[in-house]
Amino acid sequence: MTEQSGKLGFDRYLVGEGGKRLFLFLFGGLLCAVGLYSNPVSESLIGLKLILIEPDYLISDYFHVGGRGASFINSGLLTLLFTAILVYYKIHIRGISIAAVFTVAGFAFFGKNLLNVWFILGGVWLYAWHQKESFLKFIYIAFFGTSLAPLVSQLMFGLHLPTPFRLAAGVVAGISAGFLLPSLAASFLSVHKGYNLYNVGFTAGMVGTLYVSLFRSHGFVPEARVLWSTGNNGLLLPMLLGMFLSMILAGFLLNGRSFKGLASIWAHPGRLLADFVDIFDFPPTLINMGLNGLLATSYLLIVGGDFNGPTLGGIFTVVGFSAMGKTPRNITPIIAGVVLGSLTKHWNLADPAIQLAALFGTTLAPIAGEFGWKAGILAGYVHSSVVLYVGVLHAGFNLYNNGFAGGLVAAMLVPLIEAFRGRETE
Amino acid sequence: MKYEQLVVSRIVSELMNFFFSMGAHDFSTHVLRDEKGFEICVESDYSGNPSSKIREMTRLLRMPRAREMEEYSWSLSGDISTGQEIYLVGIMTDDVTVEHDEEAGRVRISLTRLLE
Repeated sequence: MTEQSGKLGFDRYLVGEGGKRLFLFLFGGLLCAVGLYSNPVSESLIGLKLILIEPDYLISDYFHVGGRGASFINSGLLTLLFTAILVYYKIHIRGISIAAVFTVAGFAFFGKNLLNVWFILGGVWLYAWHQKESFLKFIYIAFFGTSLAPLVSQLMFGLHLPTPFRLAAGVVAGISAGFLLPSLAASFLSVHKGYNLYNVGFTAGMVGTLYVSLFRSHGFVPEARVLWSTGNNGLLLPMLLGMFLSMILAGFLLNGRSFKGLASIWAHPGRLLADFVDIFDFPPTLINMGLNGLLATSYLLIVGGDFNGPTLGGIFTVVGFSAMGKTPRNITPIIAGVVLGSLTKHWNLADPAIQLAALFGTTLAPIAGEFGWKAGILAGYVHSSVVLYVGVLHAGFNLYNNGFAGGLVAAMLVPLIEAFRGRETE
Repeated sequence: MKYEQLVVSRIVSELMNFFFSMGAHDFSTHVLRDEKGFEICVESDYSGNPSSKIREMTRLLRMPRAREMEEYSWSLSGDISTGQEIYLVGIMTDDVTVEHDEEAGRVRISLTRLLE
């Protein structure tokens, strides 16, 4: 007879709380530094102003709107501020924390900015207050929920109404959207059973669809657009390679100069809530993040993609979620499914929407992790079609369009796969 | 949390799914509720030699409670069981004791979930 009792302490980790916080602050600091290096400060400040007043529904590349320097500073400052919020609430840094902060950082290159995110957070805070609960309990829903931030910007700066009405409309839309998210996010999880990693993206897609339907029936129909910059590879490629190689090296050193634990991470299916930092510790997770970053960057390079705001967002989101669900083993089949789609469908892998579909489509990685690579390829193949046509429902106001599409794909595919094939683990 | 009773029933369901997936034929549960919270006791047999799975289950059940993740993740538990969801049970409970009798092929788990 063996008996074990009590909860494990946080002292079991190779890297303490301070180290993980430092990592997130360093990441934000690096983004700010790249921004300061890219353009003169005065130029970046003008660019930052342009970013803040831009109606920034999909796809609005901030490199195109305000320049590289301003985009990096916007992303870096948001990263620092969101990390500071975690520290303020004394929240232990886990995989979900890293995923949330990296997702904010990534989307701060094409839709989230220093102005529009706070109204969503305010709405979630208001919900917590209404429920007499601590905001801490809803903090990740609030962080991921900033995917609806373009609602705020569009109403504040995209309507032809007197300024006070526009501002009030933006504030009300942002706060009300944030208020709706917490109660919906939990119930939408059961729709896809955690096989769509960007769950709040699925929820936000539903909320965005509701809002846009209301707007449309009042005569407001936003025009689709693609603001997409090119010619940034020279700066971004070395930066990304340096960043991901450093992650691998740091993880290796912190892990006692070994790759111990990495095989366990790769053996994990990755279904929500696969918190790799909590379950397997930070150093092997950091190695996994670096490797997935290299994989995503290499893919983009091979298909002749553009390194710009949106694709940088895609890469950072892949890297962030490599602390919570994504591994090279489960994202490769999804990307392969998108590549397969290019052989039978009428688009090219270098098309902007398809570049994003391949990167963000890895939201479906748990399908490959759980049911095998064939199911993963099928999911990627189907997703690359669905994601192109569901954006019209929320008019690009939900930045996690792939999370929305991924939720629909998972909700359809998973029950079918389970019915006809069963799980590989059984 | 608003859905305390539902969370507890999901925890029981999760553990039941887990032990059924390990070939259990005799699973019993006992839940005590008072003003402080819930005490969940589970006892089950299993088939075969799943020692490594029991060790991993114990490790995941011993994960410290994470209140900041509950609203985001509680509805995932008790749905389908691949073994990894035991982590969710771990982060939704405050204390745990796992007794494993290898000779008899039985496991007894006591979990505590405190209210605010």
